[in-house]
Amino acid sequence: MNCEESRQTLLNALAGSISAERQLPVENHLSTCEDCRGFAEVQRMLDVRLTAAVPLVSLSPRFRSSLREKCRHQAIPGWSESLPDIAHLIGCALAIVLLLLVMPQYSRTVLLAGSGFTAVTYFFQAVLRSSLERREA
Amino acid sequence: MNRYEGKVFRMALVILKDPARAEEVTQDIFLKLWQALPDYDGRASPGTWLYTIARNTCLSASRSDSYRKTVSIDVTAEPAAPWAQSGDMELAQCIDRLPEIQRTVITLFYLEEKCVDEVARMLGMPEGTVKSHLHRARLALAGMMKE
Repeated sequence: MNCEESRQTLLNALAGSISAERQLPVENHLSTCEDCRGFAEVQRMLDVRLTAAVPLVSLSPRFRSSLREKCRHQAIPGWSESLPDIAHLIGCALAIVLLLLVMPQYSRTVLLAGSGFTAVTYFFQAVLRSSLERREA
Repeated sequence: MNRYEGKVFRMALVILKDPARAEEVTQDIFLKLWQALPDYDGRASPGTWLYTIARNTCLSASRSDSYRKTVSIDVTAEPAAPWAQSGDMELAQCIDRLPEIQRTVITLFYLEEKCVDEVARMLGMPEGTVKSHLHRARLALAGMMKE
């Protein structure tokens, strides 16, 4: 085994990919080559130093709760979550139709007032829902 | 998630060098995974799929962070995370001077308990490439220590 092969094998051993039996020729080479012995010593010391210095890193305890919160905000609303909106719009539409049937002479006023009422109540409903969601969060 | 959250966080920390930002990006990664779950076709293993999303998200966050930051050249700056937390400041500063890819590989190698195949999976590289960066990093560090 020459110096180049010995150094390569030594580096591979430090990367954890060399069996013990393949390390034997390296040890034999090191016993006869001072340069490679020095190289091996420096590399082994470096490995020990890196292993000792590697910091412990971990996520903060609030990682999961914060992630759950983000997931909840990102959730795509299903049709069931839109049910209050659908019920509100259908209710308003039925009321307008009923008023048009009862007071056909005021159809223009009924349509305008009905649309305005629907929009205003829809807005209040949205504000109320978002404030309730914020309180739950 | 239990199995991967720590690994993804460590990858983010190595790429972004800032624990708070790394945690924020780790959350974004799991959020993306959750959203992309219906599109997962099972062709790649879950780990590979997760690491691909994680890597791309970290790199994109790193690019946008460095775009936002004003460039400052400070030769006496503290070493970046995660080595900044280590007690060996000389070693931490030497690691900081390594080329980006070597720094990433050697840091992940030691953070992942010297597991080359895990580092290869995380970085989407062949194991041989990881070893080669690792060897170069070791030689460069030994050279710096001698100086």
